[in-house]
Amino acid sequence: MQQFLKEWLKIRNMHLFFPYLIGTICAILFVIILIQRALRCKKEGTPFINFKGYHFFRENYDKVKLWGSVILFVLYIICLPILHFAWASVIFIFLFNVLFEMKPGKLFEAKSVLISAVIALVSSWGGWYLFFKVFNITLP
Amino acid sequence: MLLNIGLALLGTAIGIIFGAIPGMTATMAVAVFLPMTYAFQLVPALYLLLGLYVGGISGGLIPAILINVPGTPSSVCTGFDGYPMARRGESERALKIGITASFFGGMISLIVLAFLTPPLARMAIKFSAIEKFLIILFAMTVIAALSKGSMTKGVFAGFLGVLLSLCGELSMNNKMRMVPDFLKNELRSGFQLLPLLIGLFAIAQMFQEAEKGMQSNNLEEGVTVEGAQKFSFSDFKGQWVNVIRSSLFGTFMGILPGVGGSAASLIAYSQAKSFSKHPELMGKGAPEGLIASESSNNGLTGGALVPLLSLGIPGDATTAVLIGAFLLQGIQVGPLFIGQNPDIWNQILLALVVCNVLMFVVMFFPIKLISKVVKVRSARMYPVILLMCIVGAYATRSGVMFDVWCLLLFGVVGFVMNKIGLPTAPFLIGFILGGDLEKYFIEAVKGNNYNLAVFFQRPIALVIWALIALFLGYSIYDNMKGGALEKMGVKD
Repeated sequence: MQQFLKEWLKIRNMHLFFPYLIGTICAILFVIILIQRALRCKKEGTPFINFKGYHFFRENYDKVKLWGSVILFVLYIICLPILHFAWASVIFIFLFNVLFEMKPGKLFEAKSVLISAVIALVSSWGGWYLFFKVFNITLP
Repeated sequence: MLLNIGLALLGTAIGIIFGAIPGMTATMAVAVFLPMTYAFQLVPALYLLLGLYVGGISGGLIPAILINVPGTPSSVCTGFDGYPMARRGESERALKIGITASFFGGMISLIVLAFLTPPLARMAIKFSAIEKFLIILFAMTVIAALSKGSMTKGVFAGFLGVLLSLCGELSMNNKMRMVPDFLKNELRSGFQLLPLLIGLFAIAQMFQEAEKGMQSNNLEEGVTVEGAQKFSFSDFKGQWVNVIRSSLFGTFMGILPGVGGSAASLIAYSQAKSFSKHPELMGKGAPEGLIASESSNNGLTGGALVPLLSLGIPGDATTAVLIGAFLLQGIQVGPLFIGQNPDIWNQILLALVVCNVLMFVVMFFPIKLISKVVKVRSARMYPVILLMCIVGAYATRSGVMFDVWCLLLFGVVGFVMNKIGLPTAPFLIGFILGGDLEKYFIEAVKGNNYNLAVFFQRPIALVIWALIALFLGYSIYDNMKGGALEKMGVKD
């Protein structure tokens, strides 16, 4: 064991030792989790893999809001360097507000859209002023 | 000093809002506001963050009592007795009992923090790389052993965090590992802590709420802050033993890494029940249950800082986020922290006193106004939180867009981990401690002629091994029992 460690912890190999060690531990733990599941399934008489009735997402989850927020997030990041922080934020904070306040059958309620616009303008330009002008923080 | 108190007041007030809105937590509040600390020195930043922490933990009692939905996991037992009290027209009394118990819990834990941390740190100074390695291993064992649901999943999540922390260049030989060629520049120093923790605790939560449809909480469905029976400090008559016992339970649960507020609250509640003269009234609106829950979860705040400031090991997810504040200011927390930074240590204690007093004042007197916080629509708050998260991630390395992509990536990772039942707190703590775990292991082995027996030769090392065995034994026993905490409904 001493010789093994000596070889692995030489300067040229040192960076690989811990990733291999921790990776091996993770692999062993993963196998243990699988074995535990197999034993539990055997005890309960249920199949090891059972896709029937399995839901990764909760039942009747809000597809529009979940996937909409992921897509808006991606677009927001893409637009940040193009439109810069304040303008990109005005657009996307508004869109996030509209998306999260959306109700089935009542997609655009005038009052709600107006509140969304006010929140977007105030938080984006207010945030820009606070972080960039007052706190001197680098913004996209 | 005026700036410090102003920031503590701001932090406490915002923390209460985060705590009072179900789905938002103290951890999220601290994570989201961490970027604001770029503009401050460490001491004012700590006043803000500790205010968020104390306010965030305390705010959870408002929805727990008024609508029977705990605002934070640590208020899980508050509604057991608080809500029945509110239903029978004692909501104001229940809220004020909860706030007062929270205040006492916070102050008692502060006394423990002040007296326990310095001797623990003095002892830890004598630790060599061997003991330091074993202490981290012990912390990870405790985190895993007390992971809700499954010990193996907790250990697995912790080691995944360690594995992730190893990405990038090893400073000992300047060689890269686990990084694809096209990301060599971005990941030279590995994944950054701030995007990871904001992603795990804020963005993942936003996705979870979006999945649920951003449902709002309606105060009208519960009860309002009215009632004929008013609060009086005589409500605490005969309850002081309960207050002290529950606060100490909370504090010591906080000292154990990764335990979390809900476990502290549940254990203190069950102890209060077993010591109660009228256990049959618990769960039906008995003030002693409410006092036990609230004094224990605020007791956690001081307790979780003990291992952080003496050993450099975070006691819970929120203190793991606080490590980020110290790192941003270039200060290493650990055994040498108090000795090298006595002024900052004193300021931390003072900040906790100030934040607890402010929490009491801000919540106790305008309670009718503060209770309206539960009406705040999280759907309106998340977009603004997102904006702050992006500022924080981008500013981590003064303008690297890759860190904003990491924010999204870890948001998705956190969402998936929650779905498959992998706890995120051990993952984060593993990530924070992973670098040190590697460094101390290599130092210990190389300094002792590559002999692994060195880990079993020193007396302190043997004590740590005994503690590791004790916790592993406990967790195996608990798992065989089917997870006592899980049975009691703990979800963190």
